[in-house]
Amino acid sequence: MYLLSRRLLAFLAAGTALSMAPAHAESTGTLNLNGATGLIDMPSGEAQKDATFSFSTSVAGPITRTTFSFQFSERLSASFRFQTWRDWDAVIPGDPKETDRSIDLRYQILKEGTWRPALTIGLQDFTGQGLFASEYVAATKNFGDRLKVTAGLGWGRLGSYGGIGTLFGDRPPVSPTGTPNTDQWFQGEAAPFAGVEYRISDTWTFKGEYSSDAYVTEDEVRGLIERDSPFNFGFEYQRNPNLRFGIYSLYGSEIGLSFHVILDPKSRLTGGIPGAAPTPVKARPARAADPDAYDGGWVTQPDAGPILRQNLAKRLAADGIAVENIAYTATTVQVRIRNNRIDAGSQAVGRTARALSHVMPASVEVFEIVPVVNGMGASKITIRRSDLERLEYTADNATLLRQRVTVTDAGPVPAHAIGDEALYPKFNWNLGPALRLSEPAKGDIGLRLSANYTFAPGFVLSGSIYKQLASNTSLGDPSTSPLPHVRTDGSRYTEFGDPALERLTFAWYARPAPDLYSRLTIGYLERMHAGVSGEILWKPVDSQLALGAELNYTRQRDTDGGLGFGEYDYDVVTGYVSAYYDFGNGFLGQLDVGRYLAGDVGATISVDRVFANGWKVGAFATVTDVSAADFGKSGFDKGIRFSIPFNWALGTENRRGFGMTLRPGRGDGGARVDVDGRLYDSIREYHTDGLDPDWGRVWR
Amino acid sequence: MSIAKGSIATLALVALLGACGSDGGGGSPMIAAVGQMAKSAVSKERKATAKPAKATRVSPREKLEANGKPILRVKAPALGQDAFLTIIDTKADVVTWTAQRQANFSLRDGVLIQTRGLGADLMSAEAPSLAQLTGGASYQRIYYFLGPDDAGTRRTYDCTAAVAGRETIEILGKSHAVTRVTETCTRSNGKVTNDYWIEGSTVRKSRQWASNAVGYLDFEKVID
Repeated sequence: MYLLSRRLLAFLAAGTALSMAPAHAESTGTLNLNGATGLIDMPSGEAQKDATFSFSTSVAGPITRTTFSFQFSERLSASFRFQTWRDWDAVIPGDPKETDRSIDLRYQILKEGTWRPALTIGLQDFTGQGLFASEYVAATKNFGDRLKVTAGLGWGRLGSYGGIGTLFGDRPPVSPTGTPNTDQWFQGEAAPFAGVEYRISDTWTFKGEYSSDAYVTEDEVRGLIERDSPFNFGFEYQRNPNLRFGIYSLYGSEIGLSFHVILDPKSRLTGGIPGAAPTPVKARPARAADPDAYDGGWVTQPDAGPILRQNLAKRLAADGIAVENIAYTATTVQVRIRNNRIDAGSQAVGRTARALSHVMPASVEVFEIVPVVNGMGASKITIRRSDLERLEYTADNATLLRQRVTVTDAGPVPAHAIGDEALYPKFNWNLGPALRLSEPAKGDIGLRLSANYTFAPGFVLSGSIYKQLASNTSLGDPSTSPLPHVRTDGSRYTEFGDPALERLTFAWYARPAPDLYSRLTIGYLERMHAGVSGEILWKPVDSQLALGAELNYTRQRDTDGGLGFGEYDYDVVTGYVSAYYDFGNGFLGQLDVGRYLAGDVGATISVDRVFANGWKVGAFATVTDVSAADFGKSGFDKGIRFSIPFNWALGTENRRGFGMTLRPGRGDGGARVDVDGRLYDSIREYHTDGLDPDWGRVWR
Repeated sequence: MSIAKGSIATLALVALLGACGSDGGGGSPMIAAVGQMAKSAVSKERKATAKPAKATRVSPREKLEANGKPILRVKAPALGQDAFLTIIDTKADVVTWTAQRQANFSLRDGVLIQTRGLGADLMSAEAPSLAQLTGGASYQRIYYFLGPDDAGTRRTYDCTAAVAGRETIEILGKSHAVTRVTETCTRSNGKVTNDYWIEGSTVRKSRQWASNAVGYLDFEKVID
């Protein structure tokens, strides 16, 4: 109960911060019913502020749209949308409901200038079955700080009303679905659209538009709405940067509603970085004043090691940092730490350095801090104690300290390291509510019991069991995939495996050589597949490039969530070679080439934008030798993924988060076994590309 | 209504957080910027002000003096906090004051150079010396913060200090004859004005800007 009420308080605190955050000064675009930057139903030439992540829900007559959008860079943005049409069987018999998913891309070609409007080119629903497929160019110009005027030209759905003719040739039908409809782009009839946006007050905005969308499917084919007029108008209300509401009159016959949650990953909802103040650095006496303090004779004391280790562990426990072991000489100390709570590697390093300044005798001048992840030393951060003392209160101390700190390969555990017998074996368990979403508002809530038993650093037995409590998912239609059903029976696993043993694995992590990391995982790797998974990664601490290889042998598990393999009789060897590259400014690219779960061969390309505070938003696509027809409606495997750290939203100091992967459709091609503890993500935080973006937190 | 409907993700966060296990959660959510600064320090103050009402006749100052420790009072109007601070660290001319080790304030000769534990902290500062302030100097002042996405950012101001005159101020029932110095700092799109009430070589009282979210902090040196 106590825990629960604390969580509630945190939630309320986050809510308060949400409503109290200051309003944006600069003018950016607003969102439309499609959850993309625009007017009401039409797009505009503007963009969102860089990195804006938005979640939109809108209702327009019988159509509901739920959209995630992300402004990947200042000019490029992408949207992922679920559309639902109610009363789909009003005229043509069939399902009462039609659902579809779509992906949009927008690129702002021109930013607004003194005379020049902002100009954006966009592809809407460009890989789907085409219910929303359209292309557009839109220009928007601000007049004063209240009025915006937009005009544009649309093709496809956005060229279906009031066309001015075919500019680039006829528009072929969508074929095949799921692949980028390149042969359709900017083909067929083009039609102009236009609109205005007028800011009435700080909170209220009026929007009016002339729509070039004829709603052919909804009006003429399906009889869902009466499209009486091309004019839409309405009002939007936004009191703080995070929430926006809209109500509209649409096409002379329908009422529209919109609701947007607009998040800026760069700024925490709770304001600043959570957590208590650090203990200041302890200054050593001046060498001239107290030369005896600098005598290194203490190293010969037999009990010095355990006492120092214990004192350090006690100090660092307050910050959720565990001391694996320490090794020292009269002048140098190396401490290996596990950071269990602080969300920034640099801050954990800073806290450790300060604790060392309190614990270590004055003769120790060099602090070597080795963060350990899954038993592997991730890197070695070497700080001179005198720099720490001298720079603590100096202006721009973060930059100055970074210039004097080195980050190198962790190296092996020193032979004379002093650990604690009581540290291993180590048992942890956790029981808590869990949420499994297959898409927004669809999934199940349940209880997850997870536990892990660490025999020694790097040797971990772990597992989890999940029991549903409430669910709004259903078995659905059986998969008709001609490939082995390595993923498309997902709903069977959900419905039949309750409770289910999700994972039960034994993993061994190691550092076989400098710059090399390895993982071997055996057991029930994920809820659909079990077997052996081995991985090796090459990643020098200061390298933007990393290379990896993975080899797996897996058998498909029974859908009942038990230990058996009788249902499928399917086993496969999969493997990949991977290249990871850090392009800077938080953009990470990854290319995997290899053999996938259904035995198909191909490659995955993914791009993620990672933020220092732990936010991650990315997109991926996998093309294999499986044909689009065999894959299913969505053609090939692709999607977007995001994860949001709890501490960003709630102001709690912990390292957990909430993540989701969204796909327009799931096929059996391009699927990978979902094994825990992949190496690159585990260790990157403590390499220079992970430490440097928020290095300033070393003094936090 | 619609908030609850839309914030599925937020609800999910909350749902996922309500767990138990051998790790014992991991940090209080209330270590948020606002809550933390000085819960106990505030209750300390409450005690201090409530006691006289109960006719114990011990003034707040006497009670603080009885501790025998220097006390700095800080008020953070933007955070709704008011706390009595004690010294946690002294290095040369820099004194770091703490509110129960939750929030720290480092001042060099009474001039604020760092805060910690406030959320939007002042990470470091190129700040004027006391002599520059009392001498009416012109100088450059640089504030260093963790900006968007925790990246280091700075703000540079051109500042002028000016002696505004002699005043008598009262701090917790004791009056002090002080010289008021106003520091005016400008940059192309912003202005900061810090005020110092200086008694001899001690900044007896000050109003100093810390960061955007924290705003101005009011300091009073209650007990030397």
